[in-house]
Amino acid sequence: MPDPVTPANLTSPHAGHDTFIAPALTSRHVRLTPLTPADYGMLQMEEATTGLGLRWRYRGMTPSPDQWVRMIWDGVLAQFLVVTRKSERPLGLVLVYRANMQDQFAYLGAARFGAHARSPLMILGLALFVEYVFTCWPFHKLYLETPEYNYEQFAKSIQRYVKLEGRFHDHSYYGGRRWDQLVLALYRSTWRTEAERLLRPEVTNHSPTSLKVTMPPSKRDQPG
Amino acid sequence: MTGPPPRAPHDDDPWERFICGLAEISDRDQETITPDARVIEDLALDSLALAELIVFIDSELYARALDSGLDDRAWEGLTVRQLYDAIVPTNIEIRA
Repeated sequence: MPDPVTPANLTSPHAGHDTFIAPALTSRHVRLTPLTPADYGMLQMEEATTGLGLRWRYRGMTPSPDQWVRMIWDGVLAQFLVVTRKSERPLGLVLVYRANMQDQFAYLGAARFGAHARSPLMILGLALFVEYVFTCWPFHKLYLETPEYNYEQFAKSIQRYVKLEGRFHDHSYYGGRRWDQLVLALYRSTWRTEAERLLRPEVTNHSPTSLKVTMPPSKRDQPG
Repeated sequence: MTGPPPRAPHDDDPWERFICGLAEISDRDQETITPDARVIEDLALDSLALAELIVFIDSELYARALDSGLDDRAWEGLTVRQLYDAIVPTNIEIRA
């Protein structure tokens, strides 16, 4: 008889295992590092002086410094810079926000800094982050909201990972025309089957290189 | 008959293995991927597909050279042969 489907065994591939496995924040090429006040100047400059400021959340607006700091943390559950391991150079920002713990979904955001527009390393950082989010919280799926002009760059290869679940027609304005707003969904179940395409085994919490802490028997034997 | 199944010919040939992975990621037939094809312009790999390619190379091939130069690598105009030559050392060891 199969195990009953409970919140515990829906939330983690490790549910029922005897080990606590910390999500990796580092892979071979990139690292996730917390966003700190020391990064604000760099991040604000990226948003204000590159195409990112037009394509992403502020859409050309330049909030005051105080307002900007409040806005970058508004509703955020977790947020990291993606940096290269070799040079510690920031590649972009990843965050999860507007988490709904009752219905178990949240929104995933990612912004790649302008100088690295073609670099695949940012994607590797985003994959680390998705693994981190699904490990830490029991989200059923993560939504990605994006204007269609951002979607086009990934339209072919992203379909393996996400489902297009919503389209707001003529939702936003930019450059003399209106654009649709798309809502994509990345399901936990899909991530579990496809993550290995973007994460080497040692960062998917199944390898000895991940930090593992064996629970003491007294805890391990306690019921659910 | 006992023992492991015979390996496909490409399993022992790093170039063929590389092309096999590239074909799967780019959703093309192996025969259509030529050494002169450009990974972005001709094979239409976007950054997500390039990330998959990096993981494939890391996982399947002994790609020591990926440790250097990946930060600043220019992908535009890069051909399949150039990418292979840049990442795969001469004395390659195929991972089991």
